[in-house]
Amino acid sequence: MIRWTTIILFFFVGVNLIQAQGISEQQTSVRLESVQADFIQEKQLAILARPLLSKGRFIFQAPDSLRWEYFSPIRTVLLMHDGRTRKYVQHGETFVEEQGMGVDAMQIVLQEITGWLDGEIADTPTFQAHVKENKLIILTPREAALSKIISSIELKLLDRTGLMESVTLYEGADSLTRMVFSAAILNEKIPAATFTEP
Amino acid sequence: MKSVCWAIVFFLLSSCARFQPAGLPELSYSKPADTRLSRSVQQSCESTFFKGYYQFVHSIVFQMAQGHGATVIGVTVLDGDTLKTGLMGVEGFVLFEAVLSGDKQFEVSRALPPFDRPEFASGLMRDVQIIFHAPSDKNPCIGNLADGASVCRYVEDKDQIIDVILHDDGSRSIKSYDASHSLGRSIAIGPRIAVNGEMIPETLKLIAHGSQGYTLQMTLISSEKIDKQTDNEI
Repeated sequence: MIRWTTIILFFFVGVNLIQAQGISEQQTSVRLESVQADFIQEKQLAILARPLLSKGRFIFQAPDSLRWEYFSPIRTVLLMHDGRTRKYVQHGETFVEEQGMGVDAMQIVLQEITGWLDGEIADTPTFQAHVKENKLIILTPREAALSKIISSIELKLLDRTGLMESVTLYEGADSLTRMVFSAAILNEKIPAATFTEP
Repeated sequence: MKSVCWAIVFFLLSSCARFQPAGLPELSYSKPADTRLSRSVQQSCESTFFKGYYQFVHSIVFQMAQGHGATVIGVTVLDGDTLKTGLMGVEGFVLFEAVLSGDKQFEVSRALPPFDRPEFASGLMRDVQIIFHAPSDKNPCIGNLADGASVCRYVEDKDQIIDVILHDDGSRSIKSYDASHSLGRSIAIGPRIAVNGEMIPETLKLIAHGSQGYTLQMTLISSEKIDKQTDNEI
């Protein structure tokens, strides 16, 4: 199940890279070293009478370190560092590592991210990017099989280079996941333990 | 005269006694039948379930018998006789979404591996139905287990039997048996907590028995009783 989650993750990381690589003509090309931000995630689904809200924090450091953490409603931490991917879920006072969650797929995604850092955005085999007005980027799957799972992804960019305002993933006509970012910090040194310890 | 009385007692109890084959725990019945007590027990059993329009969100620790497991978010929406359910990863991606209508027809609108097997879909909807929807049998047998717990025994379609058990310590559980009277599901209902003016179980633990068994440990994240009319106006 994590396979598709990693694709989402791919774009949460990748949006900064897109901008850094100059897809938006209005932006100055900047080499991304790190980015961290709080987020509020809103989930809308056809069967839901009320949307589900989650809160968390996202930390990325080039070339391939990531901490993707949810504080609520379930405390989870996804860590990527030195080619290893781990997911922890808090049970009581302790974090328990969940095994067998498609770690290999995550590592493939990380390779793509590295490719983006090297300026290979236009050549990504998975999605096609279209730049719209108002700093909006629409990503659509290249493969029909994937488009049945993800219809499109919208990336809303902020004015500041390397930062994004929101990511909206459309899974179908009645289902979307929107993450709105705040309190972003760019290119600050992050301790390695952030990416190794839950 | 004495033999006639015994015949009447036997006749009154026989309709329940036929549901006491091997595999099902034997129930004892008060003699003579205490109608008022039975009605009270039945009302308590029915209060285990929910009527109306609710949205429940649970964290669900899914554990297979072989040891594999995962944590997901489960959404259950009760809309009268219609039951809607969804499973999603913590990151929000929908793994499974289905609707079971009042006429027992269910439609799966989304199912990703490993939740895309048809038997999983039907099994999950059955699980959710047993947990949240009251059995359709309106005349359960009321009795007691050997430990004294009160039981409402419902006979559903296809001879499925559902026991709602009111334990002496105040806790409740549900057990379902298939047509061959093998135990299929056990559900331990945790203590109820007040949420938005409603008393809702904080935890639910479902065990699916058998070689393909699994355990769902559900912890309540949120519960809302929804005013459908008001909601439509919004």
